[in-house]
Amino acid sequence: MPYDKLQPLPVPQPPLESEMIGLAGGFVGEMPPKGAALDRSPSMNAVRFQATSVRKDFGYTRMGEVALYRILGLIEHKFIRFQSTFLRLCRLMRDIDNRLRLEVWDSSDWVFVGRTDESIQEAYISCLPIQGVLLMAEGSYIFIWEETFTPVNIEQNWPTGNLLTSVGQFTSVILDPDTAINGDYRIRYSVTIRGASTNGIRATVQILHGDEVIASNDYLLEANENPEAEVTYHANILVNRPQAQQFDQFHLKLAALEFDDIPPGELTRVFPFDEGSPTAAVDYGTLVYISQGKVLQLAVVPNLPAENPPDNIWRVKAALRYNDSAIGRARLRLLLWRNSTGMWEVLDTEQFEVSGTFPDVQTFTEEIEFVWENTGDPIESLDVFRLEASWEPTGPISDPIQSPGILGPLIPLSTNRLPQPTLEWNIDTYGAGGAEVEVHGYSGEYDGDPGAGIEYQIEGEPTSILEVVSPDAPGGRYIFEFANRVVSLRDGGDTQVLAWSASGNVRDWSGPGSGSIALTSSQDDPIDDLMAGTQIGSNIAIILRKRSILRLYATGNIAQALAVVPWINGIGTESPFSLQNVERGAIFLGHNLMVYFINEQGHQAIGGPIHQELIRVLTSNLELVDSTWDPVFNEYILGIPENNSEIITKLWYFDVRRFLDTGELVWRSRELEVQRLATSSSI
Amino acid sequence: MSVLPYLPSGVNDLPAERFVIFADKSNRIQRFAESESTYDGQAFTGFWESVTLNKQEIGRLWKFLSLRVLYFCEANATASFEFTADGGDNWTPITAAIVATTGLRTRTAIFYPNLIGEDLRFRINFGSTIYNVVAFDARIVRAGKVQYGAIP
Repeated sequence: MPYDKLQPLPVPQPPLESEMIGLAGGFVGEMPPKGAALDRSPSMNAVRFQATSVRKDFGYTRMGEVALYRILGLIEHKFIRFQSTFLRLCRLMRDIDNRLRLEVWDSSDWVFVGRTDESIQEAYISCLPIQGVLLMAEGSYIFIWEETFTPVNIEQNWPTGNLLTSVGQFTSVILDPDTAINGDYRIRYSVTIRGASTNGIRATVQILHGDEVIASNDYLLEANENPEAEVTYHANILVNRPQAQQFDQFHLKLAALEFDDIPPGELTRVFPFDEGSPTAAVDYGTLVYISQGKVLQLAVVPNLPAENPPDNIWRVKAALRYNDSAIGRARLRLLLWRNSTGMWEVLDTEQFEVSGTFPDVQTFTEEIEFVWENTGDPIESLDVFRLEASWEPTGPISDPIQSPGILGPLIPLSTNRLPQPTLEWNIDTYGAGGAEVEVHGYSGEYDGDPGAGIEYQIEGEPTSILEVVSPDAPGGRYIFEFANRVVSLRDGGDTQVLAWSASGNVRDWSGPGSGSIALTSSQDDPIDDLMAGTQIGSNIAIILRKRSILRLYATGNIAQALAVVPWINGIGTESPFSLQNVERGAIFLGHNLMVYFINEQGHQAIGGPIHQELIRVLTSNLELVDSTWDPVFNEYILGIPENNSEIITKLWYFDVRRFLDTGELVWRSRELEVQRLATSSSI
Repeated sequence: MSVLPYLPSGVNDLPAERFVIFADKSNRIQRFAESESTYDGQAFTGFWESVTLNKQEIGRLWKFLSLRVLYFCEANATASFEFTADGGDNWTPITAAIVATTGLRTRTAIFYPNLIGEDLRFRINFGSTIYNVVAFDARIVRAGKVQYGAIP
């Protein structure tokens, strides 16, 4: 066919004049450059896209010295202990004795932590931070690395002789060892308050860290008239101050003292009379009725101090109310009795008369106050008083009155009821003129200092455990977390066995909740090796085999805690470490060298633009493919060994953000020689 | 069980930062850094190559008249572009001075490759100076007849 009969490639149109073309379309490898859109590129290296522009990619900088051996594992291990998050960036190697060697980044260099007693293969190490430990597997064993701390109790005392007696005074202690591991500081001190007041004495004690008040507590001596009265508190305060550091100061400060003086002689003792017995009264709840010829007794046994009022004047306040619809006169009488020797004596009598014709119900209320000068013994606590009311007709009465009188008990007058009778007298208040307070931070010098002034815990001697996770554990080749368990793929020599630990205990591989399944049948491969797995939903994980994908789920039955079902046939992976959790799913390199995005809804090919490129250059060493996830730029990074290389030689970056937002498949690349990839939140 | 060497204490707040790290060929750990323009102190370059600009009439000759690019950059520098008319077998370098801009404000640089061939492309070479190429506008015109036998 003559060349001038050839048809042009169909898709693009020639650029119009002055049409500006953006450059962020990414790599194009699925069609010849002549057929590709103008914003894409058939060849690039070390560039990145920013919006629609292209620029040189970021560089890199070293972290510490060269490792002695090939780095087979790179992982950030996070765990929470003592309310703090520990970040351990780990690099793993196989040393000269073929043991697994663990080194941890200490923010300036790599620190050798330990090595296993067992030999390992020269293969990528699958790492899993879980339940505060780091698990590592390379096919022969599953190892565990665990940091243990034995907290050490630190006790410090406030300065000897410290005593805060006036507002504003403080005493200080300098934290001696380093920061408390959990930030908790227990602070002990005593507060003694002494004095008389009308509303109580309130002392405020503050604990300060530097200039900042971190605790403030009030202590109260209740109102009393005795200047010798006192109360002592032993404070045991727990403050959480994670930011406190060695050489910081804690202060104990008397911050405030509030009280009201009691002027001499102004305190009035008031003792209400209770309803007493015997009584002929009928209690109607709020009123007490008495009938003719009967008496009502109201008595009280006040817990009196043996004291006399300075003026020997005692007052009894009561009220009497008279209801009647009769005609005539009556005398109402109120008597005050006292029984201090076993014999009753009348102390005083008050009476008044009511008279007249009362066609309707009339009510008379008389408030009565006995003012009684006691010339005898002072009132003591055994004294009993009786208040007695009675009435008697003193003139013609047309009709016998059946219930002429009402004596009111305990009801406030303001509610149109009768007040509760009371016995009152004034006392000498000693003229209390102030309050005293003593705050003492425990210093260990007194018997009254039960405990140290400040107590906290620091990290003790840290120890490291690096060993096989359990003699029952399989030799996992790839491990991941699901249902609070460790799931291990390729148990021992069988590449189709998966096993899992008991829930919540990575060391238990034989107890209830642990288990294993031997998978032998597959539609796509008679030996469809288990390669990798990850959780992609709240209750679903995927297991990638070489030629198919399984779903893994929790059964709820402890006898067989996990189970699998076939999900996708014809797609698997031979690059277990290409599997990476990303936003809204996971991404992996399929065995057919297509890159897939997968989540609970299914899978989607996203590697179209680089598929032909991978077929061209990724010809062997598929197990050396590695990946990581950049959660800030939302990029999935795929590292591949090109042309039979023994290490990764090129990184492919996939823009997950644009894929999720627009469906665009934007890839870019960078030529770089890499052993392993990882993402860390700290350096 | 062994004594753990000193390792940093726990932190109270999880860092919001992330670092993409890797073990390089020499088994040294490296981290990518937005502020770094070198590979651990060693200069490196990047490039971006266009697809074929002449989309129609395979076998026809086209003339690459000019390339106008929008850019913004952090410092005055020289932009190094390369142009080809044969799909990349031979490249012709052309440089242009570019001027620092403020923020995302763009400027224009124009190249006149004046090349004739069947497969016109250009390549942006990135050196030590950081600059962003936002967009381009290539002006090409048909030139000459079909070159029989020139198509592989």
